[in-house]
Amino acid sequence: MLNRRDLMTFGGASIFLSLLGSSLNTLKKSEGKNNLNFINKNDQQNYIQINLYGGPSRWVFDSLLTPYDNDFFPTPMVGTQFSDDLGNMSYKTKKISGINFPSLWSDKISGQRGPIGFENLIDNTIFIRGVDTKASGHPQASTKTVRPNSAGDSLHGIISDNSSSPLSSIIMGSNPVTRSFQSQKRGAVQVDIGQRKMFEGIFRNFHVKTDNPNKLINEALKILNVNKGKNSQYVKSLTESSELLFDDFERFNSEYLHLLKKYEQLVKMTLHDLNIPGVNDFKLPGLKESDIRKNQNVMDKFGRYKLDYQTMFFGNDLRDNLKNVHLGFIPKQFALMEFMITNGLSNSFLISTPKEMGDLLYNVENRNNFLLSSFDNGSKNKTRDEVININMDTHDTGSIMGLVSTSMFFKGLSSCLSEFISVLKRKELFEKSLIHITSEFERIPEKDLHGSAHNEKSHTSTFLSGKIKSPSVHGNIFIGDKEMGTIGTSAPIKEIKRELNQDDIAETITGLLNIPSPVRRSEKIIKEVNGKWVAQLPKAKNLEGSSVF
Amino acid sequence: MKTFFILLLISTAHSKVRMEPNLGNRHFLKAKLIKIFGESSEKIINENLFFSSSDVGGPCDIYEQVFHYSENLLDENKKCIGGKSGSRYPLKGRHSNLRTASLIKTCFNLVENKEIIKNVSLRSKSLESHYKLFYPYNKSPKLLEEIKKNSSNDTQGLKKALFTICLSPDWQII
Repeated sequence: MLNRRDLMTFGGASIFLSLLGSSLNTLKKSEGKNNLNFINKNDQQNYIQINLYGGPSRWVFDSLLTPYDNDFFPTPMVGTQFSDDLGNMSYKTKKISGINFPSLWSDKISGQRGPIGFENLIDNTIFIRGVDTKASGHPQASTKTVRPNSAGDSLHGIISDNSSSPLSSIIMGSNPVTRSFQSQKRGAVQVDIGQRKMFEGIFRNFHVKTDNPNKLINEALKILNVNKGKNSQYVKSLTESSELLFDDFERFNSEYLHLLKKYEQLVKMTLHDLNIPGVNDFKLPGLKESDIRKNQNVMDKFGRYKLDYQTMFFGNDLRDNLKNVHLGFIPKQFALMEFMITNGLSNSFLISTPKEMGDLLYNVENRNNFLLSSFDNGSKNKTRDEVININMDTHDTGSIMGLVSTSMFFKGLSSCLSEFISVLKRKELFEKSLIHITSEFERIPEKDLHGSAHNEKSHTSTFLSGKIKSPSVHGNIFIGDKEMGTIGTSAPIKEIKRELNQDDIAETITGLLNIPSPVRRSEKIIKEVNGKWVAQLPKAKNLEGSSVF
Repeated sequence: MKTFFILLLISTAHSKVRMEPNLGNRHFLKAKLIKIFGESSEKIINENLFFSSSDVGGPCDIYEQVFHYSENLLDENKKCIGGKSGSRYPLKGRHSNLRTASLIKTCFNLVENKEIIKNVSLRSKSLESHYKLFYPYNKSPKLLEEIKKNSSNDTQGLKKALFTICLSPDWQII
């Protein structure tokens, strides 16, 4: 039985606790409100992630191994140009804006009015290398690039929830990265890029073929507005959707098809009209039929000629096999993205591979090649596939095709990117955009050059934006040694007392886009300072240490 | 002291719970709309809503992707929208412009279809009975009053009423 003292104590405690509870609630709301900066219609930041699922090596492109004349230990498979026609290669660079770029960057790509340089991709870029993924395998490592906190929302989900764009995130592709989308309020527009009428598939939701429904909608909205109550967000969504409805589908479809043609042309001209010096501007002979003998050390001897898990390259010139190659769905993805972003339909995009592992090159001619099994007993087993694709997960891509395919792929991608950036600049959107090129991890070359394994201790993220005013490279890597040279394996940064990790990348992105971060206790590698995006870490260093672990 | 901390925890714990309505996914919406508008409405519902976006919700089952020596699925209704990603669509729907756009188109095409409207009006001329099909437990009674105030008793009035009820949010909540 409670006495008066107990009752007073209990009552007092209850009142105190309820006051405490509601104060904490208010504090939490106001804390939440203060911390959350919603992306508004007038000032929305665009986020475009290009995710190369499969983890191709990026040594020829944006995994810069010796940007500031850093110490470098060569590795047979890490090269940017061939030194002879036997497939030996060297890591050649060219200094541009004070940074040693792989030689590809001094080459030409196709622009709308003819060949252009890589200026659009250099001037406004920060390269982050040497990031430790702290994950194992493709799905886990790749998911971290979009959803670093597996219990939280994905980056695109957070952007969607904080965006007032008519459409939420546009997710193109089908792989663990695209399936990682997670949000609180808004879903994603999942685009099946393999679909023949992809554009129609998305916009049919807004296409009204017959009579204009607006009169009926307006009357319905009048009634629902009176009735809305707690569902006002819903009525607002109805209103916005009705404003997006259109009947002239062909007009938009034509615009999209025009863009598609543009990007397809750019890729075609880049791949087939502009040779890459030191890569495909001279003959690249393969194996001869006389090389087929029962050979116990076939990989040691001929690993560099491997094309895929079962095929070895034979013939006079590898270039003969590359006459009809293309980059698959890349032009389609860029065309759709340009359409969406310039029409203000969305501000969040994920471009990724269409059917799980991506391919660097599609439609590689394969008729005159032989199967690896030919070396089992010396018989000549010709390949059955007339064409093959070169996979991004280059476990079985020998060093010769590895250098050629990555060079061609990144050159083609660069031409699309450069054009896209030009469009953003013309529309005054580049300063409001963050383009992020990424993949799950880098590679470790196999000693016999028949392919490369995963390097989960090496991840590269490249950021492009109009707010970045000069190029720089950050993140430390180990120099390596004669066992394995400089390949990009992460090394600690003195200032943060550890290696960079994926949480730092996510924290950086959310900080720049002014949205809540899904991670804690991480570094902002790039911050906004006086309207410019500036790296907060010192320039990249190469440290003494082993590249393998 | 123990009681004090338990009460403290209770008073702060509820602030972490967020409630939002469960929106029916595409399977729920399709079943309900077919029940209201008839079997002949399936084609319109499939075209405009069932094979719509992830925001409508309702994942596909990838084990149902059976082709049987054909390019076409054995059962088109089992198709995964957006490829394998369709198997990871959320179980429930989410409010979004894509979802509402799909619903606007579906409801509009349903009420504009002469055959469907004829069958609906043959079933009953009473607005209340049509309303009850959407709201069997009479949720949102004020909506019915508003609709009655703003609708006429003819076919056009019926179309307008059905369209408004179809667009209303509460029948979509499960």
